[in-house]
Amino acid sequence: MTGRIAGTLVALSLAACGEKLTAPGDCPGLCPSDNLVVVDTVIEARLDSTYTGFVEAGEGQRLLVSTGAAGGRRIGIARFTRREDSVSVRDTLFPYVVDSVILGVTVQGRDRAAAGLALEIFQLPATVAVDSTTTFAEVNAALTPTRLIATVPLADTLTNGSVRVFLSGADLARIVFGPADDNVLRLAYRLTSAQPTGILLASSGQGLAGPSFVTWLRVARPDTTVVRSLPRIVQFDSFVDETPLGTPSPDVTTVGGSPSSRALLRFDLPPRIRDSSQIIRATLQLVPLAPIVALAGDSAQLDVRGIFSDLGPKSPRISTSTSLLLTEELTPGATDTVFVEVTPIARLWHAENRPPTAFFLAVGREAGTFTFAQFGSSRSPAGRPTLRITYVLPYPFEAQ
Amino acid sequence: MRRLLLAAAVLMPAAASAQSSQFGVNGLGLPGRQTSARAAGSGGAFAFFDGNSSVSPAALLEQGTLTASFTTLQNYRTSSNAAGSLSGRDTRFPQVAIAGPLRRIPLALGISFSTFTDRDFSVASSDVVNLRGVPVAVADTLTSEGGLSDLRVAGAYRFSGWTVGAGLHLITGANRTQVRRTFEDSAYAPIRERAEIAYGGIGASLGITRPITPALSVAAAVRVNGDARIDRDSTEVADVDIPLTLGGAVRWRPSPRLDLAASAAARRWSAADDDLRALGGTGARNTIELSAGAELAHNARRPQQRPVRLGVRYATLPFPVEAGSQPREIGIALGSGVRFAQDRLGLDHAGVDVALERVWRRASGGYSEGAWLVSFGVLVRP
Repeated sequence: MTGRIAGTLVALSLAACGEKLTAPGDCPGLCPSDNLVVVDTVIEARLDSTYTGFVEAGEGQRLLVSTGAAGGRRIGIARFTRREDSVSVRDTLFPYVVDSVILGVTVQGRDRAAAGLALEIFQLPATVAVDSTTTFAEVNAALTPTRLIATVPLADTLTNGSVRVFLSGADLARIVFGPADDNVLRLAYRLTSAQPTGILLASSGQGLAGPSFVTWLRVARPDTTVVRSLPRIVQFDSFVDETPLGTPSPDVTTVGGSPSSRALLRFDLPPRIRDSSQIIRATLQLVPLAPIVALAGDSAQLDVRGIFSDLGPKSPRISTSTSLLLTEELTPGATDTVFVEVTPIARLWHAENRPPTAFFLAVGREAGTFTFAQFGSSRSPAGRPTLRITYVLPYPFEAQ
Repeated sequence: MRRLLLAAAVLMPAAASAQSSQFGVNGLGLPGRQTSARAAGSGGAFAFFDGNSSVSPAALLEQGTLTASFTTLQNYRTSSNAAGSLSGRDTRFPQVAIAGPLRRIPLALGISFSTFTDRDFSVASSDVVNLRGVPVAVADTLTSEGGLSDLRVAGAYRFSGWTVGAGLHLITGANRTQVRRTFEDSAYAPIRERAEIAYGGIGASLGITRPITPALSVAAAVRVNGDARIDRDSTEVADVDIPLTLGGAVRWRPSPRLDLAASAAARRWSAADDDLRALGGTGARNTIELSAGAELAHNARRPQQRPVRLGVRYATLPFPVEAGSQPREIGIALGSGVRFAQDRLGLDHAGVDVALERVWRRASGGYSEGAWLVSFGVLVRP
């Protein structure tokens, strides 16, 4: 008897564990909506700063080559390692005869609306150093018909793919190494088109997709002839700009360009929002001061991130999660206000470690894109950056 | 056997107390009844005479020996309002008491822990709100777990036919509350907010029991309380008056096998009205509670061995769902119990009581609720 009772007790105890508390919430008596107060406000940037020089031309993943579109004419340049006079075959150096040469680049973007493009490849003289000091003027002056190695028509359908120039026989004479060249090939890549446009070429930063220079050799040995390739790697590649941007105005919020600019936007968040409210949506609003410069077909992208601490240009950007890497596509030529949803970053501001209430702005693929944008700054008489915040006040649980 | 009973009691889920209800969303929650399963079986009519209940401290001397009692309550309910109907269930521990007499002097002491109000609920709703000038559909959930509990230390003394009891009450407890909102428009991040609302207060009670004839007894009790301090996440936000309670009961035993009782209690909850309204709530209103019940013994020598208990109950509830209205509650109850582990002196060292109640609650505005309440009490007399 007692055992049955005890068993019943235990069974009842276990059976009673389930909980299902929910009741329908009828408004207004039982409706949380009445006590959830949502507020919408717009805050102007307190201070903004533009910093330039993060990524220099050529340090990006792509080389910009253009005929006047998206900021002016640009010419790609590359310098390869020295081609030796002899090659080693079984530990013995032999002279060689050049059989053929292959020059290559990889196209990674273009304006699909532009037709009839061609890529001209020139050999630059040794007088053009092809380094970070090289200017557009000295390169452009060297692009004479006699230095033209090849003109490669770019198919109108080509938006991403390699372009190869094969030289053999008499065409090999188009590459001439003088005494000053020391067997170092220096090339310039110039675009020709009927209308201003541009293309994006992979730089050496992408490895094999970058500019290439391969020589095929024939080595005469006593009993046979050896044919082999002699690839030369890129020592330096970049592009030169006819109209460099120079130092951006401090009264303009600037992103993009080459060397690339980034902007730090700081906001003062009212204590009411930061300490006791929940941000449910935050939208950064940027007013372009000029049409956004970008190449149609290029990924013109604005990147917005939070920062761990405000150290000016060296502020460490928050990139601990992909959800905190916020991007917004920019439309070439657009002058409309740019809206960027920055809610994930703004919600971090409630965290215990209190990251600065600031955003670091940059363009995607810095110095590897034509994208360049100028927005109003906190010092602008109009078009100041603003942050539209929608937040909810603390719920009055004690009043329910 | 006693060990098994204690183990079973420990296994039972411990939570705040009393029945969850949509009528416990506002104010301080749904008032607890502070009765044992035995008293619940007769609609609470015998609570003024029940030493395992916490209604009157004078009832402590009803315990012939040291007794520990544990009561669980399983609640199955269906809540309806204009937004629809939903069924729910939960389990509570509404009453725990230990009490017993001292030797040689007619004095009993006891301590009990019972539900004062229950704020266990979860309310789900949907709505359309205007955000940035655009209508956005939202889904809300408001959840609370906890309530106010009443810790009572009391004593009762018998002299010249009177039994007088006094108790000191400590009101304590906390609600772990949470509100969540999700938006149909994914541009808006979900809202999730939590807070712990803690309560603290003190009170005192006085009770008397007086047999008029061998078959007729009367009892009365009064309870006064100070303000309950309300803290939100350890910061004081308000004080709320806890009501004065006046009650009385009469018990008549027309035959050795039949026991009848009726009780009434009034609580001055309106004292908390201003405080709750100042917090933005719907206020509070005075309440009354009436009950009548019978206990028919199977064996007059062991009246608690398989008796049949019946009772009815009517009560008004203090916290309106909508300002200006007052919810009401009507219930009928049926119960029984067994005693076992009897020693050579005829003392039962253990027992269980079961009560089944059907409760209907209603308030203007289309709010209604039907609930089955299953109380299960365990007694251990070491």
